[in-house]
Amino acid sequence: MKLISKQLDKEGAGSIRLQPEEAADLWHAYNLIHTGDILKASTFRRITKDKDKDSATGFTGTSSSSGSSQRIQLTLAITVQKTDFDPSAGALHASGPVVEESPHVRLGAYHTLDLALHRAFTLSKLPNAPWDSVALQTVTSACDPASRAEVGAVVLQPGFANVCLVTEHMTLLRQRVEIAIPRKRAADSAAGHDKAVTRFYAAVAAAMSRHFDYGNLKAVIIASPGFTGEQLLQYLLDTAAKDVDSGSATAGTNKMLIKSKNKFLLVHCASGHIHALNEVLRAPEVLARLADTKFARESATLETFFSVLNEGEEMGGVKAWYGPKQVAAAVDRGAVKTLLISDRLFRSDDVKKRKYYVALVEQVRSQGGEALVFSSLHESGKQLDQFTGIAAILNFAIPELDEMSDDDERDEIQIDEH
Amino acid sequence: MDEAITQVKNALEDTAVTDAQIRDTVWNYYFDVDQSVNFLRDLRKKQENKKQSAAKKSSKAFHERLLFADTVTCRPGTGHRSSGKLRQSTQSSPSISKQKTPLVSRCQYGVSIFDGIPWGLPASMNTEITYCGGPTPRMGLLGGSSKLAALAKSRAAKRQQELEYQQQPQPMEDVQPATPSTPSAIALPKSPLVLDTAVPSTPPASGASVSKRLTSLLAERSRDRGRTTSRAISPEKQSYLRRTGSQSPSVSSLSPNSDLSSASAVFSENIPSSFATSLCDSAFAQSTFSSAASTSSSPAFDGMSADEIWKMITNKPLFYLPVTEKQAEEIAKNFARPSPDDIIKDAQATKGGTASVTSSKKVQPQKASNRAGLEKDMKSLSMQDHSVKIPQSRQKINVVEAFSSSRRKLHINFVVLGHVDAGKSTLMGRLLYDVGAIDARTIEKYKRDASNIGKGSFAFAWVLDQSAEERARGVTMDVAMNSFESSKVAFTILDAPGHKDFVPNMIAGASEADFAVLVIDSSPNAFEAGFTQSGQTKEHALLVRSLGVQRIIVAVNKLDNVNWSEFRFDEVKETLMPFLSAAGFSESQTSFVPCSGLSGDNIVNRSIRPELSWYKDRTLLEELESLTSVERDIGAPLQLSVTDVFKGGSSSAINITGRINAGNIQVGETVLAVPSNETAAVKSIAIADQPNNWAVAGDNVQIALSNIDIVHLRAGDILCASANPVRCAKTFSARIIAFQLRIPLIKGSNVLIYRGRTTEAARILRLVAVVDKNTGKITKNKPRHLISGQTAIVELEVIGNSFPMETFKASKDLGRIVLRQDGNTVAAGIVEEILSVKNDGTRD
Repeated sequence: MKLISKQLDKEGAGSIRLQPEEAADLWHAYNLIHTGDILKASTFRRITKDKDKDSATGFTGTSSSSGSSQRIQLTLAITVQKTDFDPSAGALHASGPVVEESPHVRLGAYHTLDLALHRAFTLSKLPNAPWDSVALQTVTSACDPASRAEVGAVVLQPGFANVCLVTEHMTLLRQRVEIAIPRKRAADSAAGHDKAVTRFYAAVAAAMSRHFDYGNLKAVIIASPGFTGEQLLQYLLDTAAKDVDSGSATAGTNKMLIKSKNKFLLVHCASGHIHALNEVLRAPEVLARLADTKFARESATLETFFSVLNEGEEMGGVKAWYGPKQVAAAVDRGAVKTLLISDRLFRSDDVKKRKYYVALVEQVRSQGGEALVFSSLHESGKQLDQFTGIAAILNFAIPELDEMSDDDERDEIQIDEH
Repeated sequence: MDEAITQVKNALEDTAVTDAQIRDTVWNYYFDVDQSVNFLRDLRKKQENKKQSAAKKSSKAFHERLLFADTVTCRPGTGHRSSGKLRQSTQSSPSISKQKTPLVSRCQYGVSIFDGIPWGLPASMNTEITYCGGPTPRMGLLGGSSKLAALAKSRAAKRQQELEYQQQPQPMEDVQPATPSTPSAIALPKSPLVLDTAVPSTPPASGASVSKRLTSLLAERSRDRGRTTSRAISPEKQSYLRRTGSQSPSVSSLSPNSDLSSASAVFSENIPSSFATSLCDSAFAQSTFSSAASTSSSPAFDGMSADEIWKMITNKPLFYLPVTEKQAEEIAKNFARPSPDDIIKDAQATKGGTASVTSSKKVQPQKASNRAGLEKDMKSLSMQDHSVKIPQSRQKINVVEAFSSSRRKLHINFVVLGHVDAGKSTLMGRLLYDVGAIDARTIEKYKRDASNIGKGSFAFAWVLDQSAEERARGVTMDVAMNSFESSKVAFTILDAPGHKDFVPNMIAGASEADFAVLVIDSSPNAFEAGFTQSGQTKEHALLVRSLGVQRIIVAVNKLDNVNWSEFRFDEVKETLMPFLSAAGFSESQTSFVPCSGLSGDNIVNRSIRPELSWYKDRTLLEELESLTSVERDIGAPLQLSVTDVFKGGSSSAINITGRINAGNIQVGETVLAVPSNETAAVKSIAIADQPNNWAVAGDNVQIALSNIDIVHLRAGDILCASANPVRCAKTFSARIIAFQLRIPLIKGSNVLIYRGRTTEAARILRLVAVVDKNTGKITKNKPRHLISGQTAIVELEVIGNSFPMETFKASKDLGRIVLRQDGNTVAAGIVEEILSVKNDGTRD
């Protein structure tokens, strides 16, 4: 993300102009753009010109026969009512009524802005929902060029593989490979097994070469139970070497693969399911190479949370809690050592809720605690989301938390007015 | 039964049809009233159409007639005529069947044989026919091999000729019981005596006296029989009959001298299959006559009713002679007389003939296992059959009955567990070698090859670790299946991998097992290493227990490494026992055997080492044999867990292997594959590589399926009866016991659910309550998290593919689950309730 301009008043209201540079930036933008904000960006719109009128109505399709329609590029500002993000396609749409006058579009006409890479947008926040510390931190981290580490990861088990890209803030499942491998049986049809295994490795290798740009990846993690990963790596290197020798069309990719041989990281994990990534990303060999990355930190913190929660009983009270009420109570007592919070909570449509969680984060930080905003696109963040999206590791046990009832089944946060 | 008869009677509103006739029909249609009524109506119509001269006779008259006929048949020349007449009379007076049910049922089989047999056979041949009737074919044609068809054709031609010669109205339809649409020959009641009358005895038999009394009828017949069999051509006839599909096992060891005993022996060939027996009146079941009685002399029969004699005869075992094809051809030549050829009747005859073959195929599994000779015989027959297309309208086999009467060897599956390198595979390899399932040459080869790659001690393990990778790495990776039979029991070994990464495979193996063998490495420190928290000894034992296995044999292996120390054995035992009892294995269900897989001590053969003299108890094999089978619900709707799916080698059929969890399956049945919701037809079934027509719960089977695409099948799927589909859960509640947890289970925890080969990702939707382990009472509602050892009710949501399952109440096998997380088993449990299902047949 490129920060082009920033005009904020004391309360934090104002506008920031940003230019997304890579797919992850759209994710940041998605986290920044909230309902009610004013978003201004360049866009395309089909304009129908009526013959009797000079100005466009802004409505399309009403007079299709009489007028001529034309697709023109224009800059529009809308009040955001809905945002929509597709992480795998890298598309972010924001829609709402137009709030700034334009020669072509009526005020109040609805428009959907497509935010695209390399096209700047201006996001203005109003005084009632100004730029808060979390949002500003997002902007800062988004604009940090050092955080652009991208890691390729393949988690697999026999017959089942997930090919993913892990960036600082996102885990993108690029392809899932599933090939039924018959079991090995007496001599006659063992060939069926071997054939299927080869087919499986070939499919995974093809998926990898399609989605991984070996030159730019920081590392390529291959994780599996047993020896599957080992065999995949062997297969990759063998076929790449053969391919380069024969000088086929894919020789270029494969040359790169062989060049980046030392980027491959063989890790053990329990299964080929995507959530095994969590286990992979906190593996010592991964941490050794990617310790400074956000996803590794998130996975490790979540792991700490779990182990603290587990040893709770013996250690004289549980020193880890989850759930908005319990965490809030703990924050009130200044007991929070690490706050784990999902960015999902800051995307709430309810301004009050957003403010409440921002306040919570600020409070923890002011108390000297650490507040870690988990990306809900990572496996760790997804998992955190599963148990309310907010959790805390405490400095000391608070027995009263145990008695707090968890009335609301869905753990929707009931925010008191404070 | 009575109810059904009354219903049919009412439906027919026809007094002309006798009770017995109805009863036969109802039997035949498995108490399907509608079908029986239809059939009887058809039958009556046919009879009318034929305008047969013979009127309906009273049963008494019929008896007299029979007597008369019988005496007549023994005279040369008159046989054909009387036989024809009598056959008609029996059709119209079926009441005899009521009095002599067993005989009738037997004769029904005989009747069907006549379809394929020309009446003009030499008398001796007909005699043979009389006795060699197999069970009635109840189904349509098999298609027929060309040889069979040709023979059947010639027979039909001959019969036709014969009939014309006799100038008797002899409609083929009547004796044509097995057409595909009306598989009901049995409904044509015919006394066995009819068959006797069909013994026209053209060549008068050697001085055998002809009894004129009804009571001595059977004795007479048997004498006739004995005479026949004493002839040299006997086996040839048999073979002829077999070739024509009459499924008559050859009479081999009949003694020409002992008329009666041999006759009775032959009689027993005629015994309806055990299946039919069980369908018949209890008269069969009550048969109390010992086989010895059948050796009594002829006068002894005089006072007996035919029923009694029959009963007596049924107890006789049989022996058979193999017959060459050449002989059969010779016989066939004998009948190569020219004849007018009615094409339609030809076709019918062909049907009848081949149908008989089908019946023989059907009978095969029903034969008692002690009839080894017959089995062998049958197998050769069924081999032939396999080239034959399966008929579409295959008659249903009552598998439960067939199973209960088949007296198969007790079949036990056991899983071999233990920490990695405990010597599981070696122990089992040794076991297989010592019981003779593996020959010495193979072992020698393994030894050579293994020592070539520096793993000499792995030779026995290679028996089970078949794949190159497993051998190279020296670890078992997937469950290896192997079978062997001891004198009492047929065992299937499921050799589970011990390595932590392959616990899913071990779960797959253990879920097929009835019992477990836990292998312990008793070497210094090795046992302790395996018994730690992260060791697999504990995890395996807990898992197998939570998968429902109650009986466990602990093989304290590698005792040679500790010099056969009794102290070490006791130490292992004392450390292990408290853990096992805590895991839920009762002391009476646990036994310990000191042994060594490498040396073979106490595996099959008792160790003769003086160092091991302190152990007097059973060897491993003896322990295994002491196991009793578990009860299985073979009558329930089918549930079969698919463990593997693969394309057959030469055929295009899709093969699956799997274990039948409940119910039974038979060839021709249509099954439903879940979760794809696709139906498939069962083309063939094999149990332990032996083709069979049916299989029941507990069997590990290989099944060829047709009418389904391979994409709809996957290891872990369930095949079930289409009438009782297994549900595919999306969310469900389960009662789980948390194992030793590294991290607590909380709401939202991602887990993998395992059950057999089925694996799916899931998450904990809600922790409903913590319950007391012993009382089952709720101790805490809505807990925030679960810690080690807690029992709780949780709700789980399956992510991705839905998961075929049943509640534990409904299915012990499909209702058990294991939860794992990050390579650790976190909980095991049972499904309490399925909350929402996803049965749209899609896979993600």
